[in-house]
Amino acid sequence: MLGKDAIKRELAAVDLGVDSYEQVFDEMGRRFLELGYVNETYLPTIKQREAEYPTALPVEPYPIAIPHTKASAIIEPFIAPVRLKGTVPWGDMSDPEHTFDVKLVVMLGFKDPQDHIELLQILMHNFQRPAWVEPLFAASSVDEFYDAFLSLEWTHD
Amino acid sequence: MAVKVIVACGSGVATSQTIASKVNRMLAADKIDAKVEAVDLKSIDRYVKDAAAYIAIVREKKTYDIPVIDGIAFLTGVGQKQAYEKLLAAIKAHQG
Repeated sequence: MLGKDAIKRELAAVDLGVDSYEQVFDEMGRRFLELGYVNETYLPTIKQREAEYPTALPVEPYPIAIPHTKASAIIEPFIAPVRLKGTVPWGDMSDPEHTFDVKLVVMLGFKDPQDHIELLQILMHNFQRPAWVEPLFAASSVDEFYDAFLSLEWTHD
Repeated sequence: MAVKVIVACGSGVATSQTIASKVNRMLAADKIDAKVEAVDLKSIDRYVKDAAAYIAIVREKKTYDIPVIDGIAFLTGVGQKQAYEKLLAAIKAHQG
């Protein structure tokens, strides 16, 4: 099972200045590839998957996106928390025609298809906790952001 | 025989199984004899015949003979109570 060590400091980012979700993938995908977390199939497959089956969710108070793709694209499992400088429109998982304005993106890479079941529940549990979410938006540096993210409760109901 | 409930998401990679896991836990805690199964969105019509309810992630305009439950509610927690109650009612109706 994936643990907190899957949350990678070197893959965390804040103030990503992008205008679209594709640009988020371009920027972060390049980093994932350079650092050996994914292979060359990651970028095309994640863009394709997102276009067909988008991943933004209306958690409250702020919608978040949880893009992920096939295990075959992943070399090393990871959780990459990314905060954008502004917001970008991101497809609604329940209605591809609709978008949310997303600022927080948690990019997921799992090799074992079973890893995601627990992990997604843990993330969803934490996204509903303002005490955890607010500091993510308030953090003024990548280190602060990363530390705040790392303080998530590794549990779910 | 456990009542069957189906859940489907677009790619079948992550969310349907996550929701199945969560809802199965909720049903077990309430000692309801029902099981949620993640199925492929493309084969929904085949599974609908034997199921008490369909937990949908992608909201379709199509209607089914069985109640459709908002799956996203189980992921985000927003509206989860109502979605769960609707599910319990569907399971009961299927048994009766």
